[in-house]
Amino acid sequence: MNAQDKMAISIRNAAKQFGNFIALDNVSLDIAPNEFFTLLGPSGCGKTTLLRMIAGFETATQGEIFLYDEEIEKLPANRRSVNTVFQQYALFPHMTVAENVAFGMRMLKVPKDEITKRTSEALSMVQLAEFSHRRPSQLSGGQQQRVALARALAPKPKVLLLDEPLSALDLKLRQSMRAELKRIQRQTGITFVFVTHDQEEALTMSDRIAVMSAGKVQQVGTAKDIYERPNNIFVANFIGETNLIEVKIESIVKSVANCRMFDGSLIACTADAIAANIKTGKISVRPERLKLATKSSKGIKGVVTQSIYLGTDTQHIVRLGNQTELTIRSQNGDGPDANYEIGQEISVVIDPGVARLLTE
Amino acid sequence: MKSLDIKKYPGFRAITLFCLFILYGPMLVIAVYSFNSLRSITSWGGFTFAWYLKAFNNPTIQVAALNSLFIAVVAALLSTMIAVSAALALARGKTFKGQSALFALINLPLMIPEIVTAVSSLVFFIAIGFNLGLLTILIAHVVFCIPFAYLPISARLQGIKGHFEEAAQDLYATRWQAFRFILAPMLMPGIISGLMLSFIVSLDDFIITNMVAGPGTTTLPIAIYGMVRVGFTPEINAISTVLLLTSLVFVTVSYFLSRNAPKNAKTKPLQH
Repeated sequence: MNAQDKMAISIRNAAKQFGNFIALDNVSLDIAPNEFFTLLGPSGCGKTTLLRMIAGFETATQGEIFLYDEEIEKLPANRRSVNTVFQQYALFPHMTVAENVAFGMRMLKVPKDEITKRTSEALSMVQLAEFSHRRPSQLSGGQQQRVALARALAPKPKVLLLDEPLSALDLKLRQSMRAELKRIQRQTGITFVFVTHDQEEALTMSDRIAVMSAGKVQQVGTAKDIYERPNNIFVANFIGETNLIEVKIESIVKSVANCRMFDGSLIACTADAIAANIKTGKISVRPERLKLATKSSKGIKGVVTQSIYLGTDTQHIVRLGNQTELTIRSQNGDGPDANYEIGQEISVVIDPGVARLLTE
Repeated sequence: MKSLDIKKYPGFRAITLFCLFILYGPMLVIAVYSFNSLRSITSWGGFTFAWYLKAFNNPTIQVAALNSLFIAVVAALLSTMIAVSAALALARGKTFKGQSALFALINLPLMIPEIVTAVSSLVFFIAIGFNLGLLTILIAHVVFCIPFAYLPISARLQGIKGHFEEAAQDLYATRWQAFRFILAPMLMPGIISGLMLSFIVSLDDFIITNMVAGPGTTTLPIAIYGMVRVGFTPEINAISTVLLLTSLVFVTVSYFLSRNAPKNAKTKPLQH
């Protein structure tokens, strides 16, 4: 790695054990400067542990963490140029909003007039300039959230860490804060490392996402990457909805696998995430990529068991001959296309290139 | 909770008044008669401050009062410092085996009969050849004041939920700065409450003090006891009233501080 493309954060083989529990299992990650990077995963997947290790609240059992090429793993939290927005905000209750925001700069011994200037800048950035003399307890949850953000941004950290900062807010507020966070990230140019279990949050805000599970990084990529080209079954299942059908692999040539379905038919699917010597796997197809056709059409035969009208879409559940249930979502239009009744025998059409071969 | 309104029980008012009278009546009598111009405690001869003046000018009481104040102040400061450290270690450190046993050990002096502590302290000091005097009183007071200081402080600390120390350290504060600027101010009502309680407990103590004081060293309670044995004078009323008022003020302040404690201890979001 040369000097021009220094990574903001570089994690090398980081592991963390709590007693016998492996919270992080040999994780390596590179986070580029100015990136909105999200650690996404179910609770207990190690994402918060990783964030706390970057912040300096947990020490790694092994591995290294670099902040712009500087090894920071051994540094205490107060000597790392990263700031955290905590899940429960942790605003200092005995200080005013302005004092809270100024605290980091005060500890860094920034000159007084600059502290004043940067405090009001940070507060206007989160649209709370007029609240600077209030106590945190006099603010609403959303306002407290934004004070926490201003407090973490004011010392101009190299990287901002956000630990599920929106999870304590109600839905409306959460949605508007997403746009707000994204705007502030662009405006400040600070690298954001965002932890969440909410995939919608991750997909809408992030430049890149690391999907984590069981202490491991399962896949790193853009929202489009991980939705359309998941690496494994966990990612395919965790991000959005998917249909998984077991198949036998006949051959793999240039990342295209010829797979045999339970009904004997052959299907060509993308297989860039598969080891060459594997014999069985599952194909993953998103509900909106499957199509329904009349019984006489070419396709996998099945019976409609549910039909749910969802406004923009209609969702059909189809039971196949091997009892696998598929979810198929088709957009509602002017035509009579999505009109299938429960109990009706139909064909499910998988267009070429739509299915993706995956393993666990 | 209307059905449980205790005021509706028959005789509630009478019983309450009777209990309060038994508790505070004698003290009230002492306080009132400390202003009596007669030496009697049964007949009123008119209002006077004379006994207060006399008490304040009594050299024995002066020395005893100074000793008491000195011991109470130093014992309160030291025991509160120890209590803060203990509370922080127990609440903020990692949980360890025997944690609840340790908690019980810290608070045990509250349950042990004072005379036992007194005798064992005396035996201990004699066994190690320590000269009895002001210093032995001080040591003993620091020890038995710790649980009184510890309780309000640890209660306050338990009310502080959230990652405040981590937040401070994340914002470039050293561990000391995190304590000095964040945790200590948040703990302050508990600390003040602890200081006051231990000050009062030290100021009022008789049994242990009497045991480890050694010859010639007096504190106010010991001086009062000595005077009562020789013969009752209204000076005792006056000095007791001063002690009573001091206690009352301290306990009241301590009560109000700890009552307000949980209110501003947390910054929980309003929406959840």
